[in-house]
Amino acid sequence: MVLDPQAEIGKSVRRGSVKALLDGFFAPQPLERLVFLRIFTPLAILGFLSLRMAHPGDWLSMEGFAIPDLNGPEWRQPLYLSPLPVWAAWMVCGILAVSALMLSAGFRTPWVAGIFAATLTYVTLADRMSAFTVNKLGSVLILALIFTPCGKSHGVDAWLDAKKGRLPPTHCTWGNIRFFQALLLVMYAMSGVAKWNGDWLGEPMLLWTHLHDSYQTAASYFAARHFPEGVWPVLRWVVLGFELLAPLWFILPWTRIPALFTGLGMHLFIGLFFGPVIWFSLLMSVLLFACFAPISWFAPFRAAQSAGGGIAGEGRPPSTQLSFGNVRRKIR
Amino acid sequence: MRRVLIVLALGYFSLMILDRFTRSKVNARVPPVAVFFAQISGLFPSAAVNSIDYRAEGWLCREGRYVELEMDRLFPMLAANKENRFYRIMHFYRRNRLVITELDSFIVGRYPADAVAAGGDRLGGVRLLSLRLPVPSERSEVKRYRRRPLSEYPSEQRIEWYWTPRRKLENRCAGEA
Repeated sequence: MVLDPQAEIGKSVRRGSVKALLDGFFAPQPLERLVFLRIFTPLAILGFLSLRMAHPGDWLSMEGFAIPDLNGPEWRQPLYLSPLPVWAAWMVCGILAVSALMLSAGFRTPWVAGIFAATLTYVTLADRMSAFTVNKLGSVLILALIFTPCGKSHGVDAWLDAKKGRLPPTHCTWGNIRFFQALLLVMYAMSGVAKWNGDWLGEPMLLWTHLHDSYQTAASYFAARHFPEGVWPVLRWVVLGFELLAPLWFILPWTRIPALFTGLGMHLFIGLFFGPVIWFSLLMSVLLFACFAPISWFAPFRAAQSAGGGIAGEGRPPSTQLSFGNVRRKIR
Repeated sequence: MRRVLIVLALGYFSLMILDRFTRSKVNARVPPVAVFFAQISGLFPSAAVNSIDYRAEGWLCREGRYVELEMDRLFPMLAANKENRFYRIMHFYRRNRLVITELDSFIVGRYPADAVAAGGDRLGGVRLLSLRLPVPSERSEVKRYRRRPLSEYPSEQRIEWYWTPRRKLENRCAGEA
């Protein structure tokens, strides 16, 4: 039986043992979470980029308007990059698309992750006007995936390995997952701080005020016009409470599942009500699900591993399925 | 390698946190590129008082008047919403003289001649402005968003951020660079 180290942390919290808590934190993690991230993160980013890639001339080339060199770094232009010739802009878009799809398919994983991360970072810096959370956060996520064994299962690389008799691992070392979990929690908490310091305490209808501009969708129009007024102040507190205290909600085992649904619901709300922000919602939902959904929900990503075993990167031969306890013993 | 990655990760998280609490100090001491990628946690902190839109008008040399320009001809990417590049340029740089002057030259130089006006007129300059449309105060006042021509908005909802200096405009209309 494969035990979920998340659940082990939960038990540790209940037992109140700091040592057990730390053991749980540093325990090997199921590879399924990484595989899920590898498959869906590039697709969410590519969806966002596809709206830009249809116009490479406007986006990255000399054909469009380029902000001149502002002679020195400032927050709007952290690095000046000259616009490209039109053919090069098309090529960058091609590289973005192919590397994202290859990464999602798990083909030559670390290499294409490197190429995708570099290209994504380039386009994010090259055009400040097209830099949003999706490509900023996306660059960091893909860069991080380079250093993980995310291609070891459920992909072309894993299939090729299997043909050679090499079975995929079932677990990875703690940092591979804890990085993404911590990133998400810090991001939510800081977003909550920004809201706390902004207008969220003083304006009960804050969410409603954002439903009237060019982001408006048919759903947000309907909601703005027909939802009872009392709904908006409640939603404001739900969002603020969820974000500000996200580390608490996700560390405590008994609040993790409600928090997961609250977070996914919040991103569904954003995706439905703020038009093009849907790609941000998808990316965050992928990250949230991969990081905190119970491991039993990743069953489709486990089937191919059933014959394998071991911890990626630990240099051990594959063994049978590992229980939480003996994985820890073997690591030591 | 693992230790290096842990240090980098902790540094990145610290930057995200510090950026939220001590932005000016962080900006002064950390490479701007690193700060840029750490600034990802400030979505919708404020209430919207107005819906903001940006528009451009062009000066027709022969007719001697301003007409609204269709900026999606020059900035076709995401033309229908505020993620459009023209909107974002105005959002970030409307007070930056260097950028806005370059934008003036770009629009005058690149705006398709066939779109200016019937009769082969040409552009001598631009006027760049924002529209500030008050958020409705009642649910019953909520309207489906629709981009309307500039002429339908009252002058008190317009803020002019830039217009081509008269001399430059006259030189262009006279055929000088």
